[in-house]
Amino acid sequence: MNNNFSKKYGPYFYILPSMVFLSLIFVFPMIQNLVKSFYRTSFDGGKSVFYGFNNYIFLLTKDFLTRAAAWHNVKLLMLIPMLLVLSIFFSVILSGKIRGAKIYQTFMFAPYIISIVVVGVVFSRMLRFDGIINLMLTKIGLGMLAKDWFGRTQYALYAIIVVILWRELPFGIILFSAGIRNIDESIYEAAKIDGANWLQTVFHITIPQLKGIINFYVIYNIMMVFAWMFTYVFVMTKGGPGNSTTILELQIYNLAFKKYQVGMASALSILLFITIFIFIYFQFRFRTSLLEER
Amino acid sequence: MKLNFRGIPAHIILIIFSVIALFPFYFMTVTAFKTNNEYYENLYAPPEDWTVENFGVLIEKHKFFRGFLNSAIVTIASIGLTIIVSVFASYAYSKMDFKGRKFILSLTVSLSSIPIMIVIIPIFALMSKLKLLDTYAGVSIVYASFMLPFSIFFLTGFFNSIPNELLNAASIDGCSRFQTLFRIIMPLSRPIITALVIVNSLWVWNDLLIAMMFLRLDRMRTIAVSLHLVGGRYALNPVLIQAGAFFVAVPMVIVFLVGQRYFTRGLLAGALKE
Repeated sequence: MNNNFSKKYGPYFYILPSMVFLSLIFVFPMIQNLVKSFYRTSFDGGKSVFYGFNNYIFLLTKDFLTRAAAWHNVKLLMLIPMLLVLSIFFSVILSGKIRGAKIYQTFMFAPYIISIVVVGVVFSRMLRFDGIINLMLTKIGLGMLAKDWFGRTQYALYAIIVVILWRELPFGIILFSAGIRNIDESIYEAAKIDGANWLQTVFHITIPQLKGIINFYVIYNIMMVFAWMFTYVFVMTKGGPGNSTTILELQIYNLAFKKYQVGMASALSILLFITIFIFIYFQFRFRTSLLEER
Repeated sequence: MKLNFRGIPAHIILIIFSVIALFPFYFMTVTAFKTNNEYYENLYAPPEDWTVENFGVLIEKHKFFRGFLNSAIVTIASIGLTIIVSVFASYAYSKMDFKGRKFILSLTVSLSSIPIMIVIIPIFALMSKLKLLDTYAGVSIVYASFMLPFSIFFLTGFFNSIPNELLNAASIDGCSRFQTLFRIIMPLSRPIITALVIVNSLWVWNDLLIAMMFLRLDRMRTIAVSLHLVGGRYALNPVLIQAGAFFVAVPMVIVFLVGQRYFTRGLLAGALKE
């Protein structure tokens, strides 16, 4: 009897602690967000007022700051083709049984292990008007290109994109290197017998064989652009100059902690959640199928 | 012989790219050991007189050693918690049969992609109500919760590869379900747990947002937050900032160099079958 009970309900005790933690970071906050998004909260901690859909209506139709932030997120999507092409390019070269591939790999992965805060303070200094990048440009005779990269509205976002590219590329290289290692050697042998040259094998064998990983990587990066960019922007420009580099995450942060409009911040959180829900769904499908295949 | 793009051109491309990847590290390191005056006279070359004065200022004035300790405490506590909770959960998902198993597992795993920013404000309010703001316990719970979905995904995948016959044999020998976990599964999982610890500790050590919001007192600050406060684009003391960056980066560079094999394995878990 006792044994039967533990067989039937025992497993739930094993997963119970994890369920408690996960409801803390997901179920509870999302319910809170949803409720608060219908209220107007006051600055001084006084009573909140029911506000209906007005927070949403304001964000979607009137708030130019939020619209600018969303547009910057969309602009950040240009990272994806860059990351994809460069990481496939480098992993193809690295997989060519090149001498010292291990050492190159270690060097290339280095950017991925340091804190974004470190990345931010180092690049902020290097990209200043009197920084080392501009000095080098001047030395090689390109002094007219020297700029205060983070200080000008028209360049700041692109400077951030370059920094993100620098740091996030290693993950793609790790991913595609492993993918190429998993490709069956005999396919290449067959192609070689048929007289295929190196470039043909890359485009007709390697890239098609990597299709699954490419799908994963693109979805991963779309989510990264919408959900995990806060620290880069926060440590390098804080959204400035002006609002030329605000993104949706930073806008939520500012609404909640600068303007104390928690209701508005909650409504924007819900909108951002809906935006990325579809990508979460794709990843969810992807990961489940991986678990089932094992 | 898979691909034959080798030779000199490949090396040239790889060297250029390695230089780009490492240049900020070089800049940070040489600047960290300069004096402020030398920085403005000599931007790129290594310092003529190496000085560790900057590190003294960071430790004395900006409490970097305290920050280092705080980061270490938070990293160890939150990862310990994550491993315990996720081992139990993954064991159930992988080796037990119960109603709703597949659905709950999928839901759990999908949470690994939840953006922190959209949930952090309510969590902040909750922690404040529970009086857990500015405590190691509070911030460790928050970190652990965000690490759980990936950790459970990662461990469940590995546990699935442990043959059931092994567990059956143990149960015939009289091991209970609980004993099997510690006598059979845990010893087999040592390398995979190492990988998980390395990937997770990089994330906790390097994080800014959660540390900044949940540990606001001066004496509780983690080192990433200390660096953020010393930094800033217009701050007047470039050598001090770069020394701070060096201070924060070095422990993780060491972890990476020692555990590179595990690191790669941990990162790949989300995308590839093993």
